[in-house]
Amino acid sequence: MNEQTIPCPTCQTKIAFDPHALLQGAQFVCANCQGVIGLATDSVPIVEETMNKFDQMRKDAGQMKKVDQ
Amino acid sequence: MAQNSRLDIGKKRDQGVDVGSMISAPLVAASAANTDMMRHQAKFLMDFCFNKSDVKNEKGEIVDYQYAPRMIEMFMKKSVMSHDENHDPTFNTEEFSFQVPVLTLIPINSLAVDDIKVQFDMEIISQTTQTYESTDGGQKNTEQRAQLLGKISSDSSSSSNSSKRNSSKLHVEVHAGPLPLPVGVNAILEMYAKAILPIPKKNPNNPKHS
Repeated sequence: MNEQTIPCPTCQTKIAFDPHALLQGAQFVCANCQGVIGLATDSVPIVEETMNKFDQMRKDAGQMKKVDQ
Repeated sequence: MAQNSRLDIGKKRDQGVDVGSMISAPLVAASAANTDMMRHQAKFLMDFCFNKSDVKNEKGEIVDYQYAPRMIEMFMKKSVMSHDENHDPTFNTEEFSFQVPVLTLIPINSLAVDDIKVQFDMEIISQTTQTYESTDGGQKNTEQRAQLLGKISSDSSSSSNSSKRNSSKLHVEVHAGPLPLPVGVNAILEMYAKAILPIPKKNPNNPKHS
């Protein structure tokens, strides 16, 4: 699986992050400028809803993995 | 009509079906599943990652729809060195906020069928040859094509109460794995990535941002 990255707002270095950890309040550090990024509290419900829907869609797709006829 | 179809299928099962059709059927099914997943993913993107608004004409009629990416707010904390009135270095933590599209946080590249394995043993029931003749510039061409008809080999098992059971096994393994992002989604992400602009947050400890 490809790693999720977001560009650092100040130096544009790609910061690797885990969306689920970000949602739990984790903060991620830019390897270049040592800036720390995190999700604003106001945006947590939007991201949570979107991630839940996405996980559900991926779970539905996973059920198609093996088909024996 | 439905009964006729059922009879046809039963007849075909005994006679065997074209080998090409037998091999392609699971592949076509997997391809259809892939298309279905892509459609769901596109619907997910449009429903949850974009805000839809109506575009109306002068009469107030809806003539089109406009989609704008759903934005979320993130923050960034950074230690900044400054000097106080005595010219001594001091370290302050400054906080910025910036906006990114919510689709930046979703690993949307992981829904596609990337591997299909089809396994089955087959019995060839019959083979036919067909001859095609054509004339090209006064020259007669003859082509012979062979067609194999078969069925998936079956296991017979008898139980003590003298009932017999035939079973055919076709094993299809489909694996969904990561594929690169679609070009359009990538373009949106790159565009927003380049436009990220940190805005300083109000900090009561820092007179510059108060």
